[in-house]
Amino acid sequence: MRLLKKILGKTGPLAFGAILATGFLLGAGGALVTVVAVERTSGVEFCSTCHSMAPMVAAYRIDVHGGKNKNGLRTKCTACHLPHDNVLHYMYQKTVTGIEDVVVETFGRPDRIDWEKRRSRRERFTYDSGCVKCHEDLRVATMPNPKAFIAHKDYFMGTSDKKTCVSCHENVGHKNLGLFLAEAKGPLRP
Amino acid sequence: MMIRRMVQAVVVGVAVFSVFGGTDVKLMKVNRALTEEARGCIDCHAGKTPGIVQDWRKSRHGHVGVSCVDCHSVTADSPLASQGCPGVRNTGTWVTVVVTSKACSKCHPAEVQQFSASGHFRAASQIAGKQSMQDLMYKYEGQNHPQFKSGPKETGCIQCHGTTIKLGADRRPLPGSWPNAGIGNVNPDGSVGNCSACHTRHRFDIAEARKPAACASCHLGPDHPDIEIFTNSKHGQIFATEGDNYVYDTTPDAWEPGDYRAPTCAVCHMSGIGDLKTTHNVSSRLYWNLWAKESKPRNSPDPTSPLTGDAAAGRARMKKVCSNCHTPLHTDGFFTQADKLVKLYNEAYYKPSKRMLDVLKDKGLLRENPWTDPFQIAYYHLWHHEGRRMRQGALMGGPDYAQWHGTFEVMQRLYEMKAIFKKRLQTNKIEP
Repeated sequence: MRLLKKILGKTGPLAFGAILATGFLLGAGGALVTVVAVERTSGVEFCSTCHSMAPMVAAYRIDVHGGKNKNGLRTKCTACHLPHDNVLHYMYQKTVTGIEDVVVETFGRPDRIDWEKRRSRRERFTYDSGCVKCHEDLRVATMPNPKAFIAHKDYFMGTSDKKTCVSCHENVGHKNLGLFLAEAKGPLRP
Repeated sequence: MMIRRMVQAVVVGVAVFSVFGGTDVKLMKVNRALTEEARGCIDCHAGKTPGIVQDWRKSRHGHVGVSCVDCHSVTADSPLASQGCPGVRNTGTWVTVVVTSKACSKCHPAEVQQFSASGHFRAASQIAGKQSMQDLMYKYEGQNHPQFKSGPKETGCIQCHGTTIKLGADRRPLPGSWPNAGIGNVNPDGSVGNCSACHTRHRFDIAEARKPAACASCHLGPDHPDIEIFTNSKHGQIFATEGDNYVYDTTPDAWEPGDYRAPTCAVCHMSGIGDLKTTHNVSSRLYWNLWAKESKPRNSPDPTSPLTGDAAAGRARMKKVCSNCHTPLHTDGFFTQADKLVKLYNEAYYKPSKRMLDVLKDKGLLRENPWTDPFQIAYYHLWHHEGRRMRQGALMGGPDYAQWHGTFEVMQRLYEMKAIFKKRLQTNKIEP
């Protein structure tokens, strides 16, 4: 209170109001820019601008998650490739991944990356928190169907450690990705 | 009158047979909990290969609606993706006959994870990685024959051990590696293991895998007569007497004494008896390696190491198994007796014979082809056949294998080697 009086005494109420308003506008503007930037860099339109993503994008386009479903709904790349447990983790991971992508695309040799080999580490660049954000009823929904329930039982009970969604659903989001990766490297297998 | 009655009886018999007999297989329709695709497989294969569909319909998989495509279908980009089956040709469905441990792990991840930490995981790479085994298979047993040298490997070794599955241009497995029932197959999808080694297709029956026959399919014969040792044991005596009345399909972790009067292989090595948990890691209750040239306590978390396991923890677990029926006095005494024979083998048989082998090798007194050299043949029999019988007979309570097929033979072999050793050193020559 004393501090407020001190500031008011020095600047006068009008100038103080102007400072507050400017700060508010700057903050709101910054937040808006961030939201738009996050939004614009989340989907296939942005991610496909890098040439090295071509096979992943092609495989995404023919996948259920990429729009090949009866309603044409599409998930964003970041829905699976960024964590969705809390906003701080999301922003942190987006920054780290974003910087890495820019550095490798600009200064590295993305054409030399063995993507097929990387798929064996797919658990490290996908996030279950993203999957369950949409498939939130998975546990309940699969209960009445023994086949689906048994397949997910160990996951929900935590009896098999180290398993994530993509451990089993290895092609999810990118149908027949292996074929597109092979095609990008050279002629298709017989 | 009599003849007419006989004719009538035959006509009625033929009519009844043609309606009810022999046709149930092809008429089988299952419309419950299955996709159209899955029904297609069953309808066609009920006629083409009725045996496997009959197996499936009696399986637990059949009960819960797990059908052909759930295990046999793969994605189009899988290294195993094939449309060799005319039923799926030019459809979006890709299938394979090679159902790998990875396919099973979709629903049974914990079991596959445990298997992957066990000695069984190494079964195929064990023989692939050893030059002496490669020589034995191709050069000696196969006589380096230009066309037929892989016969021994294909009909023998890989049928228990498994092998690296090789695919043809149509991505179907080639006869050099398929069919095989080996447990440690290295699969084209990057996985290792073949669950149907113990749970034979297409029943995948828990009761089958709990009976000694599941293990005996491979654990038999001169080099590791484990089923013979079991039969020789008191556990085996009781099994032979009452095994038909055991209950084999109790739910895992609850399969306890009472369901059986004496253990089968699976009870001691895998089951969730007492407060132990069921495991598919068959190495986790072992103290020794009882098949190597020298027996050492297990001490490695790496399934590709011959010493995979943890000796102290393994022994403690096995003693817990025993404690369901035996007092510590009995159990501790049993292991004291058995360990003594293993240590006797190490000290009094393996080490002296290895020392003689090393001396002869140094002096160039070994034949290049070990299978024409009486000393090297004796050495092999000492550790690989008789020495294993001695050690495994002791640890699994098979007295005749510990003694007459084991220690007695090892003793004979050692004297035989000593005589050859002495002669070669005296003459500085390999006897003709």
